[in-house]
Amino acid sequence: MGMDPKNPVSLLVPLIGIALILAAVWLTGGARRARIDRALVLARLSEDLPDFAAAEIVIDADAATALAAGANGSFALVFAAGDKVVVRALERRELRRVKVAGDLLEIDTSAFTHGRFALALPGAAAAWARRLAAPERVA
Amino acid sequence: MTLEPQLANPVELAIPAFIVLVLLEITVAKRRRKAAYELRDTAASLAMGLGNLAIGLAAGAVAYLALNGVYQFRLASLGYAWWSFILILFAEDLTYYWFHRLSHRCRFWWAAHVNHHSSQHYNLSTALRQTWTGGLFDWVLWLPLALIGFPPALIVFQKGVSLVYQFWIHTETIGRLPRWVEAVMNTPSHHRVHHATNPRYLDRNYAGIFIIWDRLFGSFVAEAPEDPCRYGIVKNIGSFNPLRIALHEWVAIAQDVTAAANWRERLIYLLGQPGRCFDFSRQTTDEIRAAWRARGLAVSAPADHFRAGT
Ligand SMILES: [Zn+2]
Ligand SMILES: [Zn+2]
Repeated sequence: MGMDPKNPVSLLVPLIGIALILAAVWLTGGARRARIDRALVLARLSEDLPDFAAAEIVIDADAATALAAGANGSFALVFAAGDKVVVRALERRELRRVKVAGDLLEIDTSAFTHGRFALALPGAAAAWARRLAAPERVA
Repeated sequence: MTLEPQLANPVELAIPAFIVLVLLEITVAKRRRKAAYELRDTAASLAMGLGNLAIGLAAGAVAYLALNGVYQFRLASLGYAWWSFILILFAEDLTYYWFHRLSHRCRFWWAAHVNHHSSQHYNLSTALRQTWTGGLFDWVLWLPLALIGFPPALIVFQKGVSLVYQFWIHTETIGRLPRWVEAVMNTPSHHRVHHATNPRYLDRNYAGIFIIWDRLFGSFVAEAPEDPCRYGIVKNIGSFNPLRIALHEWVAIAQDVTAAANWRERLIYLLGQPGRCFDFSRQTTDEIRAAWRARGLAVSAPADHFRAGT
């Protein structure tokens, strides 16, 4: 099923519709981003990774991304995607590169969906990079 | 018996109504101060819908040819009598139920269907977040209807009716409907459950138009007021890029199959239950639910709303 390709009006209707809808969402305050705080991180971790016991949490200066360290050397990322919050267990085999540039901690993973993260962590970026690079402790 | 050209395309006819209803829902949500719509999420859903329509032009033609091919070997000629429209309503809906159930339980099919579930929002625009890859092969499950003797045009028409029906149930603005409606029809409440990742709701309510199939085949669970739906997928994607939305599970399958140790693992990564793995790095929905139940039993009384599979 689909539209009649010979009839340009049939293609125009959805295109005009999309423009109208996006304008309406914009005008009603739809362009927004979640701001992450500690309570939100803990709440989302308990929902998506109930077995992950966060020992330490660091939130970047933009309140957009948080990195949590578990008790046994595991890590999780909690980040804003629009006005929602995504939780990702940071698998070591997914970890491609950890880089520190000043206060910026850059984490590259092999995840196809959302693979690159940059956290502004004044004074703490290098220490967290070392922790990420440390060999995993067996629980 | 050639009424075929007169059968309209329900989806094409409904597009203006889709647009008006989305605009209405945006307004209602704003009035109720509910954050129903987010700009990038909406844009991604609409882009998926548009892509699905475009791909449907080509894939639909192939599907139609296949249906016609099988129809040549039909067991009966059901034609376009009024009762054919009644029969196809139920026969197509039953087909949809099993297609949808397979789409959640077999990773190959899930890779095409996951797109529809990848938004963490639940609103009318989510209904338009349609697959880009499913149309290439999912029509094979509708071929038996042509073999039984339903004319291909009637099957395609009913598929359109089902898609249009399923549009309006993607909303939080409608709570519960009268008991008889909730008993028979797929409703916003039942389909909210289907889009939720709360363990009790995972892989439930596969219905298209009638909820009766879920009740019949043990996959029904009611929305529980004390457990508000959290929408999305077990591992949310955090991306609004339509190409990533359309392809991420296919890429994940390729990554897993490449890294697999042997052919058994490769086969399971391709056709097994989504989440199935060999390194404890993720869980299937059954495992998530079992762990949730175990935690619930350890902490308090068992959740009395858990009636799935019974
Ligand atoms: Zn589904
Ligand atoms: Zn849906």
